[in-house]
Amino acid sequence: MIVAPIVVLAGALLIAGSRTVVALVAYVVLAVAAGALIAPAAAVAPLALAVFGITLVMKILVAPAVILVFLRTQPAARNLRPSLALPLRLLLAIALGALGAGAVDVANVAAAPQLALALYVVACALAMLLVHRNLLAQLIALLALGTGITLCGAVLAPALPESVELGATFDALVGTFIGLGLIRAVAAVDPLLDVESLKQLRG
Amino acid sequence: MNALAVVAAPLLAALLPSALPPGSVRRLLRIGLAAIAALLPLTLFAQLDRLSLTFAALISLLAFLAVTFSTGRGFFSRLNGDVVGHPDDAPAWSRVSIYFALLGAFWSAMLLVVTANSFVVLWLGISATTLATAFLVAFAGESPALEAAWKYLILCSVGLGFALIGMLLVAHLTLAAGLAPAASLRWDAIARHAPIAAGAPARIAIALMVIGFATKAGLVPMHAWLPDAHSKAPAPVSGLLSGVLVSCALYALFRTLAIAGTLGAGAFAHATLLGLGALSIVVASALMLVQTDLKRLLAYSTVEHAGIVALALGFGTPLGDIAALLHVLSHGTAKAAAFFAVGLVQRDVGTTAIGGLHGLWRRGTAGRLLLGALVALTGLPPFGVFAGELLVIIAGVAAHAWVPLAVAVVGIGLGFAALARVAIGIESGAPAQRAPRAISSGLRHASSGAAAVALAGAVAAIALPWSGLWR
Repeated sequence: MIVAPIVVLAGALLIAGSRTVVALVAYVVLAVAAGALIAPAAAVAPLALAVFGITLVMKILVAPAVILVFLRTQPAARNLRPSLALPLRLLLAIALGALGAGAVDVANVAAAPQLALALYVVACALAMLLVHRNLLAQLIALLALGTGITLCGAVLAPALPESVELGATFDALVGTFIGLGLIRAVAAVDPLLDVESLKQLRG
Repeated sequence: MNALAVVAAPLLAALLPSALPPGSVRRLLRIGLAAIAALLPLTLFAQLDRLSLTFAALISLLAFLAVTFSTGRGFFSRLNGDVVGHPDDAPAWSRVSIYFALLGAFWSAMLLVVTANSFVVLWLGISATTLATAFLVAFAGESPALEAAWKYLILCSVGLGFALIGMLLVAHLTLAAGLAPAASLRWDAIARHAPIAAGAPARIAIALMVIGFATKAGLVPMHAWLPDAHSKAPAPVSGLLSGVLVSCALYALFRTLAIAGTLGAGAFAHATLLGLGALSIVVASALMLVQTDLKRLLAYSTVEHAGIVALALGFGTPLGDIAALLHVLSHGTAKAAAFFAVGLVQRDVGTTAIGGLHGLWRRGTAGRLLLGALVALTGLPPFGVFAGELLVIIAGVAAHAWVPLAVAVVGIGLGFAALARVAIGIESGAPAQRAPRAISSGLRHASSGAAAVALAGAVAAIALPWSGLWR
């Protein structure tokens, strides 16, 4: 299956990459791969197919395009500002791959290889939230998390394609568009969009 | 009436008045339509179960009061540094209209949560509350409000992502057990199904759902967003966030427990909630003692009370469930009253710093309402919180859950001390010398009335166990 190595590489790029555009491309690759996996299940019913088509366009075209347009107005935010060195980020990606496989052994469910891949994407998205200090990285991580959940749904509940698509996409897109609205306001204070600028509230 | 129409009504009630020219008519229409939207859930009496109806009633009451509070004169003047005067002097699609549209969307989303009969729709409703409230939390536009909204958005989105994965795993198990796809995530269908001995996957699924919904409920250790968001939002929004949004997340936990037994993970789910509940009570109460800002203290108090509800659910007995429900109702109304009163106080004295509230009792209605709400939250009679906490303790004794109960009682004691310290400060001492701001009487009537009705609800909630509704 050619999709698996592509997903593994794209997931690793989310963590290891240091440019916002690279992370965005990695996310789009993930979303396309997830779409390829869920498409057969969605094709069986008109409603599921319609939901699948609309959400795919939103995920791989609209959301990335909106982020790119924003990025053009904020050149200082093109660096993801990683808080870990590159070797450590690569090690983290490898460790997450192993953890994904281990989690499947514990869960003891069917279709284990595909589920391991899905959990790997979820873990990469969560790691991306932690290893980059750019707020845009957190938005891309939310989108990647939505993709990971879509993959989980394709494996765990293939009989519910529209529910899976609707749920996973809604969460990710809500995060993206509201998040961009908030980021625009933050950019007026901190053009670097560094998460350190959001640490006034404590205790 | 169609449930979808009932759910959509608050949003329509918020949007329609914006089409009218500014003035008193628009203001009255906004309150009138909100009142109709608040009554509509009663038409679903035959379609919903008692749990859904009770939560729908709480949501409708408090959301209507929040709209009324926000409609009062001068509310937006304070929020926007006197940029906008009367809320209905602003043009359609101004910040004021957007505020009411988001408030209506928030209300609709919460109704969707409690009227759904499937986890997918419930989950979409809870996600939609994030859509509506993230901008409301950031409404003031200041840097701390943006920070609070960002944390809220990221942490809740990730938490709800976990809940969705858990739900997918539940669907996997129920589909494998023979349920039809359409029924695979309906709690009534799952609860009626014969036990499914699913082992570790069921425990993982339930754990993910509990973690996800507990994040939205603000239970420790997933609570980091709550004190920031609830303290930085405008007062009526804080009242709704603490009074009903947290309750909606707790409602999702009620429903999760309903299916955990069928999946063979009932004991695991109860133990998890016992642990999260006890931890939330003691950590939040300890942090309440060191707070210097009243809104932040009230936000931590919400974490404490969410912990009390989780603890009661964790006992896994009918008495525990009734105690949890009573506490949701009484805390929701009392906390909304407290946040509404803080909004009035903030307007009157220009601060929410605890040190600046001395002698507030003598300053007028706002101080008295705040004192009443704080007394309600401490758990003293005749307020519902008193009955709720007492019932939780009795349920804990009956369930022999001694360790979590002991931790909880210590935490409740600490929380009492933190709130009593503020209440005594408000009742005693000389009033601060800061001159009250000039506010027209319109705001005082609408906003004070909303706070007073919420406080009355906190007293009325005590009647629930004797109402016959839950026998």
